[in-house]
Amino acid sequence: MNRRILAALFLAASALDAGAQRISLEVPLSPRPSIAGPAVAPLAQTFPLALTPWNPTLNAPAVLHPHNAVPIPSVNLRAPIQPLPLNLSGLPDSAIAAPMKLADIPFPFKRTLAEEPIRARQLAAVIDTLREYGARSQSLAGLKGEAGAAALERNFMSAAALGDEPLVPPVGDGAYVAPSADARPLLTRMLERVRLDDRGRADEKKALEESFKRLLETPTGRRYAEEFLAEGLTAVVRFDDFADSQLFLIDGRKRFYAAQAYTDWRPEGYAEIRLNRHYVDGDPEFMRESLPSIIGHELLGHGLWYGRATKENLYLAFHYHELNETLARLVGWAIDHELDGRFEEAGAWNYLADPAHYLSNLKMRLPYYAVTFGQSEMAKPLATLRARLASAEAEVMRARSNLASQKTWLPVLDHFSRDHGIPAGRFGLLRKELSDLEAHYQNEVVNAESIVREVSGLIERIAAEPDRASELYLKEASAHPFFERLSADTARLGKALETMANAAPPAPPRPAPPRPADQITWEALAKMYQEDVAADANRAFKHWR
Amino acid sequence: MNFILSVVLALSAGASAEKPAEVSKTVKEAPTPSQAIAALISRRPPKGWKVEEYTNAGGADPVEAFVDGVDRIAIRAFGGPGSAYKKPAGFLTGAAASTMGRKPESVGSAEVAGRRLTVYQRGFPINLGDPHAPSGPPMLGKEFFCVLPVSGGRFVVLSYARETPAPDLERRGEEAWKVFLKTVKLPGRKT
Repeated sequence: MNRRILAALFLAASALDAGAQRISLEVPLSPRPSIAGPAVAPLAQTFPLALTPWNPTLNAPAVLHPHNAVPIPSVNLRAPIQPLPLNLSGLPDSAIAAPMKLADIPFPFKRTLAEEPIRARQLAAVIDTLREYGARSQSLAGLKGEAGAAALERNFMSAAALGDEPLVPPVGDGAYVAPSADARPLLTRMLERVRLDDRGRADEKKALEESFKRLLETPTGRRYAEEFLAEGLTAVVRFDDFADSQLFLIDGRKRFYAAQAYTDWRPEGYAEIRLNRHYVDGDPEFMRESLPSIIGHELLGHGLWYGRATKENLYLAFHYHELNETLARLVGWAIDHELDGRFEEAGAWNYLADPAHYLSNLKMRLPYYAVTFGQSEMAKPLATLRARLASAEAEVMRARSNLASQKTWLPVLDHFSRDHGIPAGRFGLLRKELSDLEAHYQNEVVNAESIVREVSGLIERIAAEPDRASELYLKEASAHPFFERLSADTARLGKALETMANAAPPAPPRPAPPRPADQITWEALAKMYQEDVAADANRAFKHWR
Repeated sequence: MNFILSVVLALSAGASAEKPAEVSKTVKEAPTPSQAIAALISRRPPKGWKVEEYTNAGGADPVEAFVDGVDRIAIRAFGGPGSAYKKPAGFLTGAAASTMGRKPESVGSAEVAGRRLTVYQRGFPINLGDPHAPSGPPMLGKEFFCVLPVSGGRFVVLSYARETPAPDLERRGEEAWKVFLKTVKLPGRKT
């Protein structure tokens, strides 16, 4: 009797144990067994509402042209057609299902809804399809191994192509490729995956080919190119006419001060890099020095990691991660330094001096950065954004105060001209520099106010979601090991950049425009002021309050 | 009786098995950047200035800064495990002490925590604009700094920066920096 009860109990226990085993995929949608990590919950696979993959459009800077810059009229530019990238997300549902007033729609979607209602309906279809894909992927989750992964990938790619229409086949297939035993030159292998689209123009063909070759002559360029190939990614690189770009003549050289390039992740599954056509129209030396690193930044920084993130179903989370832009910046700077021992971008020095300060400054200076998250911040997005809003509001006050202080300088110059007889012409350069500084501080005020609006807007949109989709998506994504990998690569590259900048003797600085001998300097002005204030002690009629 | 004993034994065994072992743990939290710096030097922040604290080098290099308008006084600690700079000489020849790669200029000295320290000056770009666009020739702000060796083979860099090329006519920032340096002391040392 006892043995039968025991046997029954044993069988019952075994059955319970078997039933407790669950089939699960380590990382949904990964086409190969990749880094082990928590499966992203079904809710996070439906498309977030408040988060959107808008392009980090160039924030109109106080473009501080050199004082002798002469605008070159643009006769040949046509207004480019620049549709918003139709990639994995589309507009937030809140903008479509619950119509918003145009004034309330955050830039850049205002333009889309006002001008492209058809696009809005198409994008709504994307969201519905991705939600369906999310549900479908649940049923596919029971499949094991490569068959399951391949099925999920096809499901994902179909969803990204708006449903049942045939896919536009990308140049590559997105499949993982083992590190190459292919002994062919890297350039040859890269050109099988990266199409340099010259638009039929010989000058663009030459510029693209030469810049691409120079990029691949650098150690950082080669390293990340091999990684790009190993991921099975594809891309198109081309020039484009940027409407807000203007060429200037400065000391006999043509330069531009507008966006250098953009990267879009296309729904067909490849990166599209658009480069400012003014690189070709402008100074050839500047193009030679700058363009390879810019292509590196876009293709091997953004393109590579957007591709990786997309494979892990983390495109949006990556787009909102602070290291997206940081890593791309490091890639570009490293390539730049490897080319000629110089940084074309002065910001590289500020990064090297104090990386955390540089990055936190960007979050208070640029709307795009203001809505990005570090790893721990992504785990508590609303709390992070609320703290950032408070900082941004304080920054508005600081920027306004700096601007007000800056404006007090001109009366100082006027005093010395009017009351001390110093010819006004001797302050010409200082006046231009003061004007530049005022524009800089004015821009800081505008930026700080934009950041308050951006951050407030994102808080409202996230908090308004009844199912907290965006918040949950970010929280879940923050734990994904993909971001550990991103963080480790950023740290490694930052360290490498420091080592190369510290080790190499600096290239001789480029000569600045000569300062005419009769022009008063800042130091001379400060000395004049101190002496005049001191002299007030002996004056009945004081010059200074 | 045997049955009752068995039940009692089984129940007590079960109870023991269910009761989790209590382990007392003392979780030591990492110090904040300000706390890490306070362990190396004592200092009094300028009154009314906004305080910032953060780290670089994956947490190895704590920073504490005080900001008022365009003026910024900072304390950066280096030399610990994982630090970006192991020794003062490495810092002084490195990117962080340079004016866009050119070595800093020695501009005098200051007494800090009972030591005579060289004061250096360097420039740093301030008009960075949007990093997606090329910028014009950089305007430079000015930074004055000195290097103070502290305990454990570490060192702190004390700096005062003005994020504008325009001089401080009222010298408010400069005065705050001089007053601040006088408050810096090494723990356990009379100065």
